[in-house]
Amino acid sequence: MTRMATALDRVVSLIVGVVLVVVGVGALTWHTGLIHGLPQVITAPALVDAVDTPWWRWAVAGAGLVCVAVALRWLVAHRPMGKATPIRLHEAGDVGTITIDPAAVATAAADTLQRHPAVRTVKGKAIADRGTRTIELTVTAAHPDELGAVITAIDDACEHIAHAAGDAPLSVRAIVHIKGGRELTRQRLR
Amino acid sequence: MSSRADPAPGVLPPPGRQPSAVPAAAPAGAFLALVLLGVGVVALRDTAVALQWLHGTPWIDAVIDRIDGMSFAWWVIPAGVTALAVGAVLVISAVRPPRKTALAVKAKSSVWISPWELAGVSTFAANSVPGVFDASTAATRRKLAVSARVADAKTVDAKTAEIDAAVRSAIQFLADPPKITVHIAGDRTS
Repeated sequence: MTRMATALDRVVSLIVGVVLVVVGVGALTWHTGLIHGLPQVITAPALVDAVDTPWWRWAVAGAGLVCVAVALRWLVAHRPMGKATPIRLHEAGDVGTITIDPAAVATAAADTLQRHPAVRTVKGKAIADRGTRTIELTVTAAHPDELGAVITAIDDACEHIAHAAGDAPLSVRAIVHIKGGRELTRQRLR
Repeated sequence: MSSRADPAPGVLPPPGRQPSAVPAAAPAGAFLALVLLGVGVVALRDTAVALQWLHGTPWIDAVIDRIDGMSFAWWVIPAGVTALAVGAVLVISAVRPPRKTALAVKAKSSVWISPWELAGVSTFAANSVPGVFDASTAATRRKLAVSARVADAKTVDAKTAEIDAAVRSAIQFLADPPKITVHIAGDRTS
């Protein structure tokens, strides 16, 4: 999801939520007399008149098309994190443009880490995390006692990524797992 | 002078963001998008009816006709309760911050571990204490609750301290270790 989609979800949820709360409170207190000025009968004369006008059908059609288009775009915005797009480095005066493929950097970093004896498996991917191009390394340590060595290996891999990416805006995040994971919680040692 | 293949020591890429769960507003937003899609489809269906491409009566016109002149009825109360409940859920999901899903690891780069992986490390450490068996850990980002059994009931206090020390040592790679509690479930009866 993009930051824009998250912000849209929050704003619309808040507006619709507040409206529903107000409508709910109004409905529950309608017949109690707690709130003065509530009408005994709901009327909508403007809407009733509009239904009989010649433009009403076209207004409904236009609103329907807009609703469907906006809803589909909104739903598409909820897809999981997208891939990081290539970074193009070009400054004024440069004779050419250098393009960095974050996915290739992620794969190379994962391959490097995979060779470390304390590392069981590594997955590297390049994602767009909340608007930031990020290399995410998912590293599984072979054993809990090897975590220190794995963390050092990750730091070394990050230095290599910084060297490869230079000044490019490319963040790196590593998530550590341990072989066996939750099974360790049931493991019985002698 | 360093060669192209040797990264500059200590130079790291920008740290990636802390892993977090999907914001609570995301499912609410997807739900509202589906509602909007439904409204749009109904509007287009009414247009098709008005153009005599479909048989039937326009639903939107019928709803407006129903609302105009509506007075209090018994079903307003359950409808009000439903609107209030859905509205409250939407407002809460809109303002709720995304749940963080990992703990920071003490490293030069951005390294994270999930609480349940940490539970595995904790359990492994607890089970490694001589005379302790059947250890398990319930973990959150703020608390590790270790439960275990001991071979000799007379050693409960000593083993509690040993488990605490073992777990504390095992998770010292964390930047901000969670609180540890140890509970001895009971003595071995066989």
